[in-house]
Amino acid sequence: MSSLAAVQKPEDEICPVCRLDTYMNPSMRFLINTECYHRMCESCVDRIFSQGPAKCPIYGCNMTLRKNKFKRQTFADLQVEREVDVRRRVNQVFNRRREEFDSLDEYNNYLEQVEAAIFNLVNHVQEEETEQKLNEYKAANQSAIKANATLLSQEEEKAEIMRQLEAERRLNQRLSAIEESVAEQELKKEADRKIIQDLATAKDGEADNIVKRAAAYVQRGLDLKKSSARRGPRETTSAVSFGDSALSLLNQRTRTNIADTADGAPFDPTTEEYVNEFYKVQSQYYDPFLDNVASNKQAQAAGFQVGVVYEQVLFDAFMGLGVFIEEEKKQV
Amino acid sequence: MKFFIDDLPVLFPYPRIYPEQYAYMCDLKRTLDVGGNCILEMPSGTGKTISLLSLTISYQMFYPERRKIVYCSRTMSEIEKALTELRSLMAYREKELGRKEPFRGLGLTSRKNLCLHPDVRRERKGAVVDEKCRSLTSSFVMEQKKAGKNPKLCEYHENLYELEPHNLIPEGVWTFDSLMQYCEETKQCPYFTVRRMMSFCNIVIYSFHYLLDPKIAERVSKELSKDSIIIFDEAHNIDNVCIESLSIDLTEGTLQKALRGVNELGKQIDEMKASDSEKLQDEYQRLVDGLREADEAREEDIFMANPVLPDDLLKEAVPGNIRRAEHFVAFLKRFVEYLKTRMQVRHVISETPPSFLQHLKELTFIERKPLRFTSERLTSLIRTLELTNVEQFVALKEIAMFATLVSTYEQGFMLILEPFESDTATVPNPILHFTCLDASIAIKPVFERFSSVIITSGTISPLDMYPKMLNFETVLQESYTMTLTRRTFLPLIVTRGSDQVAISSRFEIRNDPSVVRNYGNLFIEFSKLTPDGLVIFFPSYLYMESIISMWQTMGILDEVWKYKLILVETPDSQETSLALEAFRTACSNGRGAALLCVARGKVSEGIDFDHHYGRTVLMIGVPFQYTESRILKARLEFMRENYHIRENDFLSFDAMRHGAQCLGRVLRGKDDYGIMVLADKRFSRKRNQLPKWINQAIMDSDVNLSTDMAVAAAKSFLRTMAQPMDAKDQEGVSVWSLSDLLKVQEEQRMEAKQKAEEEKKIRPVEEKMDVDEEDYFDDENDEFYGFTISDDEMLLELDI
Repeated sequence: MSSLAAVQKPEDEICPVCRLDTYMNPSMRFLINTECYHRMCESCVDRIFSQGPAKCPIYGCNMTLRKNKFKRQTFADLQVEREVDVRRRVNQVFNRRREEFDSLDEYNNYLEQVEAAIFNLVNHVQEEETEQKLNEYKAANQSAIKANATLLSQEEEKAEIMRQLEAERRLNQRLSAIEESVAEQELKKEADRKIIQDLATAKDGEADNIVKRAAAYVQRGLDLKKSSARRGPRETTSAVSFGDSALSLLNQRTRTNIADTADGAPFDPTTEEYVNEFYKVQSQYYDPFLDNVASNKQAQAAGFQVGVVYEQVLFDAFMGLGVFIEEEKKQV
Repeated sequence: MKFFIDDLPVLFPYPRIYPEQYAYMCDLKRTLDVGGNCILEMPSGTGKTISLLSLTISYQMFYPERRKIVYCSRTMSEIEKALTELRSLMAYREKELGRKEPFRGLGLTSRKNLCLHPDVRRERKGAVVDEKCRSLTSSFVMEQKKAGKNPKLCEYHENLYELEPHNLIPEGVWTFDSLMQYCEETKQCPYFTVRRMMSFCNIVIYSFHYLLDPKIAERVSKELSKDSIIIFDEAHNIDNVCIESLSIDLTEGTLQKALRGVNELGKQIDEMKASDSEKLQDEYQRLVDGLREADEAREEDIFMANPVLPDDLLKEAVPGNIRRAEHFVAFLKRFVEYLKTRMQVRHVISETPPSFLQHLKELTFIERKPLRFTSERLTSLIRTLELTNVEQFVALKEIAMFATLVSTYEQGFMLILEPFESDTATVPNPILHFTCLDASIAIKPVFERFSSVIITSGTISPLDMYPKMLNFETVLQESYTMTLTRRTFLPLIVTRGSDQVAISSRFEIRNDPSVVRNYGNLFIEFSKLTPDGLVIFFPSYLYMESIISMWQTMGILDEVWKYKLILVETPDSQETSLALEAFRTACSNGRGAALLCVARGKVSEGIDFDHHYGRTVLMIGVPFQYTESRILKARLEFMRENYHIRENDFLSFDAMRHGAQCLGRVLRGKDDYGIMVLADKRFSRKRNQLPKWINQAIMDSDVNLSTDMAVAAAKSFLRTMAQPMDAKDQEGVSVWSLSDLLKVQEEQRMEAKQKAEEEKKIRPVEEKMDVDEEDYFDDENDEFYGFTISDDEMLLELDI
């Protein structure tokens, strides 16, 4: 096994069999085989081994080789390549997992055994004994081996899916960041336009106020955009779509539970929204009875929304719960 | 002078104090009392170091806990300066108090600067000096000596054993010069003296790396107690230091050398098996029993320290598949071969550590857990093989560090493989960058362990970026301004040339002839009016070179030559020092010189242009980083996701801190004066990202100047500077004597009392009102809805 450790630059590769080099044939690829690890170019492989197994053409090597045992080289060092192949073979048999051992020590001892076996095989030390041990173990624990193999492949699949999801998430984040900055720019342009319009139509002395109001408007718009973006895409129950900013304005009012204000401070309906703790209004509800009413164009134009109806009905239903007259009387 | 802050007596070695120094000391004391972190920005040239030292030393000496002080600075010259100030401070204290306090202050730097051994100190590279030193002083060399063989030892190191371990050097403050002198006489090793005496010092001064770099910090800073006071001075670049300490770059050369090292290791193992297999067997047995190499008796001779933070070290036994030395060597070989294979790709790859590890496992069956133990296992192997000549394993050490880091951290790191150096190169020269994106990882143990961390600098704006980036909380963030009786520095923002064309170093227009000509005219005008030294900063070397060649063809350099000599900074440090020397000579004699340098170069970081060496500083363009660099892009994305710092914000912040750093070079004291010209259209918008003391001095009329307006302003400024100033004008305003200080303290006390009384009066009334009724019903106040109610469209949308 000569030149196992040598690293050759791609430019001066010469096939040892046909003596052609990559200068003459730039698309020449080299293959190695898993028996004796000799290299030769693809055309030689085709020429010599297409008609069935034949002897290795390298001088001094008499191993019988088959065409399907040839593969591309991944490592520059052929010894490492061979070791990795041996490792793959052994790990397919000795594939017990950490969970099967009671203590870390036992697992480490097992790992050492496996490593010793691989080492023996790679360095041709006690080869037959090791092979024999391998085959015995394989015969004895076939089902366990298969089970572990499936577990491993499942884990790998899961990891792959996680990675894809992660990549997607990052892409989405990047896109949304770009969108956000674009939206901000537009908002600013819009505000500028509005200022100019206001100033053009305003009376004397109002210029300062207009500018201040516009600044506050822009700031609020930016904040709303941020909060609505954070909340993510929302589904509205009604066919009438609110303006994005307006909807978020409504939602910006803090949601407090009525129980939270039980410490005596009066419930302020303009800043707090009443949320009943006994029910939660869903965003979608399949209701064929009200569907044609909800989709009626005339009703929509007048301001009818199905969501409001649902909320009201639920509110009526649950209104009396949690109210105990005796307790209220006692408080007063 | 001596005065009290609350109950603490402070001894200040000068008879006069600046108001900002006093404010600085008060805030410092408050932070130390509370025991939290703080960020303080103090203008350059106002005696920051002496205020820091005098307050912290007084604090240490007065309170019984005797909290130790650790002062971290950037370069060796700064450490030396601090030690000199400390020495004069202690001399003053001795004089005032009438007795000598038991005090020891030492500074630590690398072996290269402190070695006395004639063979070792000759070496140029620090790493080689370290290795040679280890080969002469490590523990198995000692054992060899005991066994009767005669290895080469360092006599300076040996002499340390003759001395008392608590008293290797007498009390007092030792600057590096005095330390070297003393150790020459007593023939002891300065480096090890300081290392071993660190736990007996009141104050230790060293560089950031000794506290932030995990490879060094564990060894050197292990015994510092939790209530020590940590001070980071000149800390504006601290996030870069943190990132660099956890980043590694690998080239093909490293991999080849590492492969040779692995083969050498294999050979050594075979030799040892033949001659004395007991040692290997012992090591194996120890690993089986799970004994760890964690605590070393002799810290100095560890081959390499663990590159990960101590909390992330796995406290388990070494896995079974790398217990045997042969198995471990095969493991290393596989890993290096894998890296070689990866380096052969011809397009840029950027992936996260988990994905790298997954691919590694598929291809080579190397799992994550054994990789985490690589550095440890390698250290123990080298020790077992008793190899003294470890220079050949330097590359392998790097690979082991890389392996440990990539397998330990999942978040906050990125692997970037660049096959070509630049986009236009045809010959591949691949580099694998393993970069840390998160600056808070390296500094986390510091904030967790120590209660009081003080971060201070002259140009650290905006202050709130650092707590975000480094992920810590502060109890105090403060920025001080310079109190001046008359304006001693004139910042100008020039946004257009005399032909009203906007000037900028933006990439698209930087080679436009009109822009270049405008910059050239600015240069000519300022070289005409500046006395003595003129310093110009460019954003990058490439830009500087292209502008200079264009100026040459336009004849601008010839025009400047009539008024000033022109000198240029180059990437080579020797040439630059020659240029600097010539610059200083020219400034002190004759009409002066102009120095063209780069905003991120060595000159802007370390060289002071005080008094006549720098009368004008001219910033051509905004010094942004190279924004196409992949590492920078990865870092920006990381910060956007995790810390919600926008990319433009960070780039702008980074550019402005370097810009402010350059501007601060020209002022070194209150009697110094200078002109600061910021020549770029974009500066007018970035005005409030400048430090407070510069921002405060910019008048609104100086924000949008053209070249001729700037020249007129500069001329009148220089004429005012030429007027003699009476030193008496300063007293009471920008300089305080002891009586002024006591008066101010008295006033502050009265104010505080008055405020407390007023608050007591107001509070009972305030509690009754909750809802502010005005906002509720005011029709005129449209702010509540943010727009006029009369706007019908808005009403419809809101559906109110």
